Amino acid sequence: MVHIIKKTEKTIQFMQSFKTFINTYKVECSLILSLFVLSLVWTMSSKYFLTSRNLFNILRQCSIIGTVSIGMTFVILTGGIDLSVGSVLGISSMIAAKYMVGFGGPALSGIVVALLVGIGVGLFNGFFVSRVGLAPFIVTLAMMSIARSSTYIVCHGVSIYGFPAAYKFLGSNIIKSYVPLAGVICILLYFFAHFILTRTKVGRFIYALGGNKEAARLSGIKVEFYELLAYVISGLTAAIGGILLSARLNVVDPDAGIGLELDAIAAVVIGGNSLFGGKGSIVGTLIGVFLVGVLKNGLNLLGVSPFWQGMGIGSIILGALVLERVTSRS
Amino acid sequence: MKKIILKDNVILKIKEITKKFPGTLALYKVDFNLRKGEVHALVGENGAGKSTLVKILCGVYQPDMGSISLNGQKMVFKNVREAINAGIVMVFQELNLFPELSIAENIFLAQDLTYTFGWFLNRDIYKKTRELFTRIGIGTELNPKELVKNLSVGKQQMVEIAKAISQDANILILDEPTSSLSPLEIEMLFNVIRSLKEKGFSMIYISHRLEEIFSIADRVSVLRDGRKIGTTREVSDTNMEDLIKTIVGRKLRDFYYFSESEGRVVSEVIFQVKGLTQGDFLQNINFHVQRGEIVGLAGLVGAGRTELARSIFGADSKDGGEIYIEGKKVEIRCPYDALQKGLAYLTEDRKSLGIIEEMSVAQNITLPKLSQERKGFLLDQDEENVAANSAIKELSIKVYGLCQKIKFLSGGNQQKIAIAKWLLTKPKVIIFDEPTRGIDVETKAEIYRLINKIAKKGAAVVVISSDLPELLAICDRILVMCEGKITAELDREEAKPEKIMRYATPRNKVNFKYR
Repeated sequence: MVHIIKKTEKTIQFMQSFKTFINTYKVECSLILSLFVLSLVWTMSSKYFLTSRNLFNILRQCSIIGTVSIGMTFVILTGGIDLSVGSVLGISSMIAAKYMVGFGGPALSGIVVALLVGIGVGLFNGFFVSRVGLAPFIVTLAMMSIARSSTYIVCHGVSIYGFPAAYKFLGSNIIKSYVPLAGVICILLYFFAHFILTRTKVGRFIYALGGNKEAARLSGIKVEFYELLAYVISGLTAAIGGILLSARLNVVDPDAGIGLELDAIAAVVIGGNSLFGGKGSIVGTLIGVFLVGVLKNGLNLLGVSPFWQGMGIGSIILGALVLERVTSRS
Repeated sequence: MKKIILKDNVILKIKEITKKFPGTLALYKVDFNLRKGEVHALVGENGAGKSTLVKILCGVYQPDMGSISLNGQKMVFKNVREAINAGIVMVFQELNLFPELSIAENIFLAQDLTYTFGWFLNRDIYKKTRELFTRIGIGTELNPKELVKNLSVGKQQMVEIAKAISQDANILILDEPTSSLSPLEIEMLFNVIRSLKEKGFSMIYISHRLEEIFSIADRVSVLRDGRKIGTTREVSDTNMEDLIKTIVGRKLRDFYYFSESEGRVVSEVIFQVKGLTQGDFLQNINFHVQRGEIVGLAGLVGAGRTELARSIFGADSKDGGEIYIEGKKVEIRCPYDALQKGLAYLTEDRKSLGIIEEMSVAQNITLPKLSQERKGFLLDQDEENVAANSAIKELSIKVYGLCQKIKFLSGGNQQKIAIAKWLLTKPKVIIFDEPTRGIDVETKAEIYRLINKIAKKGAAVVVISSDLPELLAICDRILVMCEGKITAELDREEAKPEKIMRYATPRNKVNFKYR
């Protein structure tokens, strides 16, 4: 008898903690549910969907946009926006490519060069946003233009290809040529970013300043520094995205990454992050990335024309926002 | 149609209006009436219920009980539009105008005659505006074609008044109309008010500046704690001293002087401000606070008290002045510096500056503490929870759990958290800016006890408050500010409400023409 009572108590306790879990991660749970439903639909409509080959394919396709979306999440959590990520991806990989191919630089320093370019651009954006106080939209819009133009200047408008083997390895598949290394790196970066946002002061302060910048400042937080940091992280992840993309394709095209900023913003927003800042999570972004990836993949498998795919993504963005509005109201 | 004969010329009659807000009784059975062609002043302390009363009149709030009758007819205003249609208009400062449009367009925007066929600007409006200006006594001071953004606040207010008149308003509500006007503009406003009065318009005039009331009002009503204390038959039936006494009330209400205050040991000076200056807002501010002492900053709205606190704390820049903590000169350029030097500042505006609504109780409580610790990169969840829990217990904050978002708490509990987060940083000097505004009586008492406790532990405490009895009850010393200067320093024994009010009231601002 006592045994049973204890058991029911335990169940009740479990149910309660389950309830609080659902309440805290309401957005993430509903996103996972939608991802699950979408996958179910694709599994039923295409026999190719639920194969390991296809799933890894999705991972490969998602890795670039996923990596760039990490930095975008940081910036959007501060209440800003970074329109320059696509161009940063282009310029950082282009300079690295020029360095490796044109000057015969080794792969490792090529990677460092790309990362430094990304950080540099992030510092530039962050300086104008946090210190000068310009609107993030305008600063990064200008940077988008400047970085793209610099990309064309560096390569004279032609693609650069033929990278060292060590560099290309980043874009290869590991474990019996099955698992895309870029995807693994991307997932690891998500773990790291999640750790930063939830377990460190940096994350806490970024949420605080995104939630209410003036209140955070008056609580004695160096808001300028943390805002700048978010843009640096965004530049950094955009550069990593550039490295992964160019390593896989073994070429850097001067047009690489055009329009990527919008895909990244879409993924972040679908992931339940508020464009006003202070609300959201990196887990949401990850699911948002996969939601778009799985949707695109399924539409491809079903042979839907690419012309129509934008409809699906647009509808998901709207749907996600409507869902968020409805749930936050209740 | 039956002609209604108005007794005493009363056009607006309010009977037994009662309005409750969660936790407070804003108005209790308030009667009020307004005659045709009179300026009726409404005075009282902050929170006395003046704003609530006029907001009910102009349809922003609906009363819980009581009735409003206009020209003998019972009226119910469900929204602002209905009140305007009935002829009651509140004149806001600047807020309601479109800066990029001309004066005339602003005045006639709501009416169809601004644009011919809805497209082309109707030139007649300029002529009409000029006529309107002449009618209400503004004269040719303003050019109807001028863009509103180029006008001073005072002139924008004239435009607001003209707009109200053009909408067939016959009752105007002016809420602190002179608070940001220059002496010249005040004189101009008074001329307009007098000219409107002659034409039979009625006005409700709210102001903290009592000397204005004697120069412009016909009658004056006093509100205190949501109750009407009285209305004079004529404004000349009272004088400044009596009026102040009526506003404040003789008793210091149900304030408990601290029984524990003996426990506090006021010792050496640990906080000192020398020659602090900031533009026109602060002029050569000097004061000190001792360890364990509670110093009050009294003054009217706009006297520069919050500006002083903010510039001490590094939230706004200062033009000059030095700050000493424990005898050492400290450089404070931003709130982060202030935090590191042992300063704490509870902001006036809790909702927009004091807390971060989207964050949890625990996260809010530990925020400054985390920033204060220079070492450490990782969050220690356990340590955080322990700190938050002990703060919740100490301040008896009512929460469901540490993860609860702060926006779901009541104002009083939010305020306690805003205080708790600073206590965790162990401040040497703490400035409370309006610590009990909008908070229920019970929590107020707790906050007073808390402030006393903080002082007892050896911090220097500065309390800014517009609630005089509150300051008188909790402070050892009161500094009175007026127009960016400290005009008086009063001991507990010297500090009397009337005296403070006298020092807080701007002098020689206007050459009042007594009628």
